[in-house]
Amino acid sequence: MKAILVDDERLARQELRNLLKKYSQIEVIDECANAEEAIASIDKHDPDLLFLDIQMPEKNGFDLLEDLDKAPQVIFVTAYDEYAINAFEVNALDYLLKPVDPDRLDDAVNKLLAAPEETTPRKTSETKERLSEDDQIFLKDGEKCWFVTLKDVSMFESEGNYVRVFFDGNKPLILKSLNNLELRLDGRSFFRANRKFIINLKWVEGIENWFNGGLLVKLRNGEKIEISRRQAAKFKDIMSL
Amino acid sequence: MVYRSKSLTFIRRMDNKKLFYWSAQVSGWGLLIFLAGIINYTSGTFDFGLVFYLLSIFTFGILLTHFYRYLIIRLDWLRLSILKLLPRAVIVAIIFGVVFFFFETILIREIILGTTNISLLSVWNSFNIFLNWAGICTLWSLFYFAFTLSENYRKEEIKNLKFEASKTEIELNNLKSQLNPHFMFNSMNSIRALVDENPKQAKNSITQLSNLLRNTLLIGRKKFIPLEEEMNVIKDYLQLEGIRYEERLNVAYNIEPEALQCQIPPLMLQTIVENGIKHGISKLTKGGTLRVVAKLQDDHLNLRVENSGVYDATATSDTSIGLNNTRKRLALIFGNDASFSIYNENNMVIANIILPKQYDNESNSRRR
Repeated sequence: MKAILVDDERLARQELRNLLKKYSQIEVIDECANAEEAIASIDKHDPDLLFLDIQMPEKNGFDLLEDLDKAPQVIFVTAYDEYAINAFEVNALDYLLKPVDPDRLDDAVNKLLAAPEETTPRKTSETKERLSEDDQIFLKDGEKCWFVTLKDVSMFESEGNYVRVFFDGNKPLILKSLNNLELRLDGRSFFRANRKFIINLKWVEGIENWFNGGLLVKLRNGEKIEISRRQAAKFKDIMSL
Repeated sequence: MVYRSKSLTFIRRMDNKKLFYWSAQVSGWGLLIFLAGIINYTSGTFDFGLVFYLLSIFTFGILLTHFYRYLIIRLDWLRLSILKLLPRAVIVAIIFGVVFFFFETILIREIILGTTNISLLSVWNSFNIFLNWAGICTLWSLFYFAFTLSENYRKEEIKNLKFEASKTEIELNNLKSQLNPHFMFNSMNSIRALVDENPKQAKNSITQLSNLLRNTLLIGRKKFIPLEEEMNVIKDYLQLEGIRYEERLNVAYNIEPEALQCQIPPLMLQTIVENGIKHGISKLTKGGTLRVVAKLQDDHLNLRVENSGVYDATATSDTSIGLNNTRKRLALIFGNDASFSIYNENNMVIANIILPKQYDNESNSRRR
C-alpha cells in the first residue's frame, strides 16, 4: 500500500515513519507539511492510505479531505482535539492519538490490511479519471463527518453553489456544482436526471411515463425524481440493452 | 388610570430599600401616635385638639428623623465603628429630646393648644418628657443602624463572594490553559521522535517539560512572582514549541534587566505567549516570529508580546474569553492602574500589558 504522511511537524512525521518501518506492506511514498502540499501529492501519487493530522496551518485535515474528489483510506493522527474526537465517535473512523501507541497502530494497520477487497478500491487505470461506485468520498456537515462509498449514495441535488448528497438518511451539503460533479462521476452509475438532480442508476426501482415525454423514476429510498424530456431519450438508451 | 400608572412607575423607581425606609417611618410614627391616641381616648379625652396634637407629632417626628438620616448619610456615619457611632447617637438623642420638648410641650401644648402651663411643670416632669423623646430617638437610631448595617454587611458579603467566585473562575481557567493538553501531547510526541534522532536534546526536552509542569503548578498558586520566574517558564515553553515548529518559530527576547525583579501576576504573560503561538504561528504555513518585550516606563511596567499573524477582533472564540480573563484579572488586582490591549501593527499582532511597577515589599500590600 502506498501511504502519504501529512503533518505540519517534521518530528511528528519522523516518528510515524519510524513506527511504520516494521510494516513491509506499507510504503511511505511522500511526506507533506500542509494541506496544499498534500493535495498536490495525492493528485500525483494517488495513494491508498493517508496518515493525516487534523490541526494544521491554514487548512486542517478535514478541509483537506473535503477538497479531494475521492478520499483514500485515512487514519487520523492527532494529539488532542475534543472536536475531532467527537467526529470520530459518530462515524467510527480510525484514529490514533499522539504520542502514537505502537499497539494501537498495529490494530489500525491490521484492520486495514485485513479489510475485504471492496474497501481498498484500486481499480484499473480507466477509473482514475472518473469516480467509480466503489470510490469513497469524504463528507462533512457541521460536527459530523462521513466516508461514503459512492454506491451508497442515492442521489445528488443541486442547491445554489452547493450539492446535497443523499445517503443512509443523511443529506449533508458539499461545496461543488452539480455540473462539475457530473463530469467527475462514472456515467454508467450516475445519471443527470434534470437541472437539479443526479441519480444513482442502481437505486432506480420503477419508471413511469410523465408529461411532455419525460419520465418519472422512483428510487429505492422512496424519492421520486422527474427526468426531463431532453434526458429521457438518453436514459432509455442507457437502461435498455 | 393614567394617574395610577404614573404612581406605580414612581414606586417602581424607588428602590426596595427606600420603600422599606418610608414604610418603616410611617408605620413607626403611626404606631406611636396610635398608642398615644388610644391612651388618651380611654382616659376620656378625644377631641379635635388631640387629633391635631397627634398629627403634628407624626409630621414633626418624621421630618426630624428624616433630617437625622440625611445627616447620617451626608456625614458618612455608616462607615464608623460602633464605638465612634455610639457617642454620636447619644448626642443626637439629647438634641432630639430637647428639640422635641420645645416643639411638643412648649409650641404645641402650651402655645397653640394651651393644655399645658409650662410654669406648672416641675423640673422632674420636664426632664421625664425630655427623656421620653430622647428614648424614642434612641429607639429610632437602633432600628435604623441595625437595619442599614446588616444590609451593608450583607452587601459586603456578596461583594466578597463575587470577588472570590471570579478569582476561582480565573484560577480554574488558568489551570485549564496551563495544562493545555494539545501542547502536552504534541510535545511528548515530538520528544518521542527525538529519542532516536537526537537523544541529548530529547533528554533536555524532558527536563524542560518537567520544569514547565512543575513551575506552572507551583507559581499558579501565588499572587505575585518576579518577572524573572515568569520568563523562565516562558523560555522553557518556547523552547519546547521550538522543537515542534522548528524553523517555523523564531523567538526573540527584549527584556530590560531592571524589569526582571518586578512583581507580576503569575502566568499572565505566559498565557499571552501561548495565544501568540496558538493563534499566530501555528496558523502560518511558513511560521513567523514571536518577540517578548519587557520595559520600565516611569512607574509602570510594560509587557508586550509581538507575533506574526492577524488578530481578528470580531472572532468570538475561546481567545476572546481568554483575553477577557486577562482583563478581568488585571482589574481585580490593580483596579484602574493596569490595562491590556491587543491590536495589529505591520503584519504583527501586538498584545500589551501595562501594570504598576512594584517590587517584592510593595506587592505585599496588595495581597489580600
